[in-house]
Amino acid sequence: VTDDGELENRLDALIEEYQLYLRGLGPEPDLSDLPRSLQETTKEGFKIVRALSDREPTSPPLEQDPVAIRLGLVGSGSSPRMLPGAGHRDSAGGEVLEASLDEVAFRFQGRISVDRTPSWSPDSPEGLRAVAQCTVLAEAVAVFAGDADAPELPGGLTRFFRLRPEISAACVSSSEAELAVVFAPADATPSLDPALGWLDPHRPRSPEPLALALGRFFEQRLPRWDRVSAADVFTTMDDFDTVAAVALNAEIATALRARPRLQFRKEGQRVLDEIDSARMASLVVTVQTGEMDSDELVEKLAAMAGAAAS
Amino acid sequence: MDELEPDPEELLPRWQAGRLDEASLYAEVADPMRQAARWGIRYITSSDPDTQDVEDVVYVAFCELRRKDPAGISSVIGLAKAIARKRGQDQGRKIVRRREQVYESIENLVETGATEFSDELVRAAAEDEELYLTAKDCLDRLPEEHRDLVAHTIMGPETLSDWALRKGKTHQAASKQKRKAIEAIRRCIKAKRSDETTGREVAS
Repeated sequence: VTDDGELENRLDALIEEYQLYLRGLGPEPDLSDLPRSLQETTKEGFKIVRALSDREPTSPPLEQDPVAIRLGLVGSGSSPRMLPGAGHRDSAGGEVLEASLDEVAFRFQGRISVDRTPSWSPDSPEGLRAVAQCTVLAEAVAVFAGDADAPELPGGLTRFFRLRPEISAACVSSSEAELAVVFAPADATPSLDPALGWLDPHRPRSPEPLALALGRFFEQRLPRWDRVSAADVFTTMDDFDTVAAVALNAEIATALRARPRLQFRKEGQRVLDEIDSARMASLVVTVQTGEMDSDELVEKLAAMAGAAAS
Repeated sequence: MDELEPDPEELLPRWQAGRLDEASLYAEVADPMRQAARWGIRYITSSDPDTQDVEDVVYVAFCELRRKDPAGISSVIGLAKAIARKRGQDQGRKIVRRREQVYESIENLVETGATEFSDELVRAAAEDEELYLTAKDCLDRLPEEHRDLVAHTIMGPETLSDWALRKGKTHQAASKQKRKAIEAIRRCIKAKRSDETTGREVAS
């Protein structure tokens, strides 16, 4: 092997060594044994390798990019969110958080009530600041400002859920409302595995903007009222109250035939047993005659369910 | 005018004037941020980063970027890369600590890296990105096999040995080809820059 051959082999190897260095697998290559002119060209080659390295895989199209989706940048009909220009930064994090809660409330068209002075504030876990309570039907979510990644958080939330059984979930958000996670009690409680012993609670999901995290939580829990095809027949049907009462009684009877073992299910069955089917049927008729719209019906039913459960 | 795809050089003036939306900003910085995030994670973990970790880093870094006041920024792409690299290193530390199962014993899981980024760091990252764009142009002029080699073993995660095996070559032959490809790109960049300088001189 000639000297030139050895030098070429050395230069080939240097590229590999530099890539290993970039990947954290070795020290930065030493060029001091190379002639000065070669040192310069090799350094230029390194810069090119560095600029090109780790470019694959490239980002998917915006509509399919998981990060863009998580950031809420993708969505049909959503208008572009403009960035504030120079000198217009929103320095007060609290305001951003409040604005995000308003956004959630607006999205659900008033079905969510937001209490900015929640009664459980004094019981807030250490390191978290009580912000609000968001309530819809039987769901009450405590919203806190704090670090959703803090290692002591699950322990603090377990205690909080024990003190406040009426709270069904806790949402912990950064003060800028950009990193928020919703914790259900199961996400903050250790579980017992017969083989492995006590297991740490699993993390519910990666942090995402408050409006998305809370919005998704409520979307999953709110009942969906699907449009019924060919429902027009009901608007002209005679003795509709009788038909409604028969259908209602049949459904209630089916539910009552079950033999629940869990206490809260037994309680639910008791409530169902006490429902006044004639009153329910009259409600359906008021919708048929157009005296009540579907939103009002939902409100009435929610009120009846709430009264029965209390 | 606003409906047009933003030119990277136009990003900063548009942002400063309050005429830039988040999706347009993200579209321009997503790739450079992903690259910087991979670097940052690798730098600490010495292993191929997991896609989910890279996405987490890009998400956090973009949130940090959009909070910045554009008045104090010298290069949007440079800053985006600098942030993503730092947050990648943070994520790398988190991964290592989880790997070592010291999660419970550390009160602050990760000491977050710098939140302010020096102009020098931002400029270096911006120059790096500029070099990448020129190098990418030059890459298109290389023979097919050289292009494939660079795309897989430098831009992608394939090792040189795997590439050589796939192409039925010896490792040494592949290694030589790789250096020649980089040398060709280097010369092409030099020629392009020299053309630009001459063009500017003629224009003035």
